[in-house]
Amino acid sequence: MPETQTHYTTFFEVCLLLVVLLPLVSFVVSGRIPQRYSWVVTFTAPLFLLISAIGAIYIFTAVWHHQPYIARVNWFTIGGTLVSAGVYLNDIAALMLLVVTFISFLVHLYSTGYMAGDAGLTRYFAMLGFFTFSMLGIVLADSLLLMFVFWELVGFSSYMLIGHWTEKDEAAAAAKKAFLLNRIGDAGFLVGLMLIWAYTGTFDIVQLSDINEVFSWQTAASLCLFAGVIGKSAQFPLLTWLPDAMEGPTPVSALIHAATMVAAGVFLLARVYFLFTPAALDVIAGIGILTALMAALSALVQFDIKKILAYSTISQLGLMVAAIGAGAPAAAILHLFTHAFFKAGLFLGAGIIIHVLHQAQQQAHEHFNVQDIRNLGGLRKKLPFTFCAFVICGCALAGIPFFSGFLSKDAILTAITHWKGDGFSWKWIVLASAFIVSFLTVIYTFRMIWTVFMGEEKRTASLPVVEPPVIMRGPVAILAVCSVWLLVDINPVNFEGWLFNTLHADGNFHIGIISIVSALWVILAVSVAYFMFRSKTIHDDLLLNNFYLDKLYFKIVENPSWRLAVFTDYFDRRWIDGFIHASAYAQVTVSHLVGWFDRAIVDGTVNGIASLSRGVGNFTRSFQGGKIQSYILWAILAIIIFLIWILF
Amino acid sequence: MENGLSLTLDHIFSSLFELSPEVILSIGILLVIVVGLVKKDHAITTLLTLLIFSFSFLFVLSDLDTLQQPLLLFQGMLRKDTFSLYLSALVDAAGILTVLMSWRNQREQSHLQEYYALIITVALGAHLLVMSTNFVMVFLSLELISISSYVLTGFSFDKKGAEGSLKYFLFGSVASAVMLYGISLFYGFTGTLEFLSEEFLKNLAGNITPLFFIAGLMVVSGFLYKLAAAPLHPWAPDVYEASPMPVVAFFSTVPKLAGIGVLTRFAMTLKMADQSYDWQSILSVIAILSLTIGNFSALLQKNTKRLMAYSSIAQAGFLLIGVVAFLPQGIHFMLFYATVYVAMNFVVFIYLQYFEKNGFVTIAEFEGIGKTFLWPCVFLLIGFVSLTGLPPTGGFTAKLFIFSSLWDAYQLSGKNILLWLLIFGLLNTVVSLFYYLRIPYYAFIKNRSINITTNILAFENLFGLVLVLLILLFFFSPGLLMGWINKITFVSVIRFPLSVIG
Repeated sequence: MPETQTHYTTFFEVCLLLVVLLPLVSFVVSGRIPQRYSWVVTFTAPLFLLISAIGAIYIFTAVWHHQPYIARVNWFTIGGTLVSAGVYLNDIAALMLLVVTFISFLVHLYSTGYMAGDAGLTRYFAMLGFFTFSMLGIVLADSLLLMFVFWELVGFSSYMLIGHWTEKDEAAAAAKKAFLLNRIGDAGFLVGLMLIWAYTGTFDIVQLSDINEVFSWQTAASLCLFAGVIGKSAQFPLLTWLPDAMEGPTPVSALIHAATMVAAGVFLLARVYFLFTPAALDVIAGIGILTALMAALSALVQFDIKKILAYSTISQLGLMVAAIGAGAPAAAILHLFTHAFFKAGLFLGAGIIIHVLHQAQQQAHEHFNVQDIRNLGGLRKKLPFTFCAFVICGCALAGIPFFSGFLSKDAILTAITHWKGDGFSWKWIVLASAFIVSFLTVIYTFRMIWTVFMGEEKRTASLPVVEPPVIMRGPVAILAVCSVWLLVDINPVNFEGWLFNTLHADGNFHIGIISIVSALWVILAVSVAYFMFRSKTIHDDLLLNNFYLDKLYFKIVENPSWRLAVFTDYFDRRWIDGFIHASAYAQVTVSHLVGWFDRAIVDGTVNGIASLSRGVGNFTRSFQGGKIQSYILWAILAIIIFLIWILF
Repeated sequence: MENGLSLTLDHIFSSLFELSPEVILSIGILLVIVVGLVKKDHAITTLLTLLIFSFSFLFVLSDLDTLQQPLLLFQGMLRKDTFSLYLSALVDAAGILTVLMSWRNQREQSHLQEYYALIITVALGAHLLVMSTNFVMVFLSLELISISSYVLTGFSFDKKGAEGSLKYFLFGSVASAVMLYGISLFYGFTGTLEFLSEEFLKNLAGNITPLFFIAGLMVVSGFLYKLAAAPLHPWAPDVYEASPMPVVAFFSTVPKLAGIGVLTRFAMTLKMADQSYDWQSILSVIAILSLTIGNFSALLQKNTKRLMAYSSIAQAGFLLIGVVAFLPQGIHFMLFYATVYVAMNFVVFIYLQYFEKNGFVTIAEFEGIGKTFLWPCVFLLIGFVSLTGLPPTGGFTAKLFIFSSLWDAYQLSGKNILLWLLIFGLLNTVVSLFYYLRIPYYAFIKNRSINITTNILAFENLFGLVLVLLILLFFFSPGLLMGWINKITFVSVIRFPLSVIG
């Protein structure tokens, strides 16, 4: 593309390189710094990320609304087939680049306060840097194979960070669970890659996008890719790992398990949207909305503040996936974008609550579970700043007008409304579900905020709670500011702002009546929440345990596996070992025979030779009787024998 | 007549100047005795001896460098050529090593000045023997070696030493008598004692009789006695067992070198003069016998010195293989073998002496000392591996060379006996493995705890290290030494064209 060459300068390329590599540099530097100087990391790591984020802003402005930037090098060849690796930087990728580096920088900054004094500080920042690098790799990769590589690296860093507190058994179990469930999804991804390779012979996204026809294999391939998304973005049925992943440090939850990594699935769907056939999209829409509904219901009854946020994340991701399924990747990306800010803000806010309460607990020598919202209440007085930020971000999550979440959710609802068509079909259920989800979102957000901040103080009453240092408040404030409608457009009720219009080039649906309906719907939800759930808590074991999915998996997967293991163990012992024993007996018997042969025939021969040697030795030595006269006799005799031998 | 006499005297004088190493050694003998009489200090005597050998060694080396063509000295008594100079250099090197070995022993060694004087005498005899081209000279220098050796054997001044010395003397006398008889027969045939002269060859070529063969075999027997090769080997084990360790080391190298040198010269002449008797086969049988008797008898030995005595008999067999080939490169390889043999033999003897001083005499006593004496045992092992002829040691290269020349000789002549010699040589190498590695086997594999503190910086270790490095060097770049040896021309064959004999 000649335009690419002219538009993008060398400075741009250097910047891109810096943006991508600085997190990696941060990883290396943090990993190399000895334990004694771990405080150095708290300066270097945010600094690297700050530069990276600034570079990302420049790159975003350069790429946005322009021709995509493409650069590639030959990676390897198999036979005559060349596999290349490179960068494909289009609008979506540039947007993700910005979001990832920006939020990663804020989380780095926040972590310097949150993680201060942690024993694994260098490891923490190293993995954070590594995660950011891998995530940028996903965002920039121009081929599915390269993306898969980074996809796995992201999974690995997620695993490392969930299990950061290695001394906690729950953390280790959660990390393992996240890793295993992701592997199930990634197996699907890998199969999808193989299918694509088998049918097209290329992994390159640009080349793949040139396919105009719709082939039947695409349904299978795209659904396989979607399996990877199910794992990474915690969609039904692999959604159970994300709530458990909350065992990791809260900034990690904010960055990885809310804003960026879990959104990678949605990003992948948007990136390879052209591959998806209508049938596949229907499946995706169904799964997305099902996930959204299930998670929203579960979020309603959780007591752990981080779990509520985790389920809410799953629910929002479900909405995004449903939007993709409804043929509106632009709406999904818009929601991803807004969600990244307000959900990160909520997590970091929750992190502040946990952090300051922990510190207060240590001062007051009192211990209770600070994450359990039943223990909290009335914190608005002691943590006014956090309260404000939490409310702003919460409003965005709930989709209250004048906040960013309202607009992006509107986009999704509009897209689904447009997609359902005019006639009556199952797609109406999706639309209804989407409305129910947005209703539930308001209720659980309200419940969470109300329980934590309003009412009377419960167990926190006696604690000396103070606001955290500015290094922690700053990122939350920035994220809260980014949660208002201005992020999307000047007009607080029009989601078709600068962002949406660029992504949504074909413009097959537009803002309409849905916005007003949605606004009214949300207001209704708020009032319902205020009047019904203010004083009442719902308790439902089914929802608390997320429809017993874990138990179900245990029953249908783990139990049979266990039984299979017991059976194979028995089989192994009884038959395979039996066979081995039998062959061992046979071998021993044969060995005895061979041993006899060895002793009697082979050793006999060897011993015979040895004794022959000894005999020769004894014979030659026998002349050495020690008597000199016999020596002389033998010598002379030998000479005479020689003479006789030669002469006669 | 006057003129002739003065010419002869001039020749004798000029010959004397050509013999500077031998002159040094001769003066050295007197000097050591005189100094020994005046000064009772051990160190001075030892240093003086060392100095004498070193000077002689240096003169030989410089001669080796500058000598253009063979020189006949003392009217054909001696012949100085590169072959004899090379062997002389080896003899002097062995002398230096013996003195260094004796240094560690000098406090225990009584009559040190006589001891050194005798050693120098043996070396002088060896020098002369390798140069001899006249039977009288051969006999004189041989007796010079022999008589000094008889005395040296008894230098442990105990009953065993006296017995060994007497046995050696008796056996040596018989061997000398046999040789002398052969020499007198030769004189009767040819009327000359110079066995390299044209006259000798001419007269011999016309008179090939069985008696001639008898005479030849008798003379060869005398040389075999010095070489300790079968069938004139039986003296070796008893004598070695009786002698002090440095003397054993000395005996197993210097007389052997001298014997092989003169045997080579004489055998070449015989081969040339006598076409009717197959001297190649006779020497092959002797080599086979030496190898077999040496190696097989060594298998059952319990005493280290006796073991080494049989080993030296077997090694004499290997040296003979080089001569048996009757090829120029065979002799070159024989010299290479002799050089490596000196190095590896001394490594072994240095450590045998070292262990003997620590009280380990029989092989069974070496049990488990490998941990306490790690480096001595390692060096000893390398010495034994080299004697066996396994890589990566010079012994392997030397054996490889020797066997390859034998193979060439077999290809040329097609005599079956040479093939048999090759087979026996290879088989005996395998057999030798069993007894050479017995001492290291006892030292390393068997377990026994000993409470002896050792000093790793012992003189023996430095000495051993140098020799071990040399042995390894001979393996890794044999070209260094071979390049030097290849310059040696063994000219006695070339001097008499076949036409003269025919």
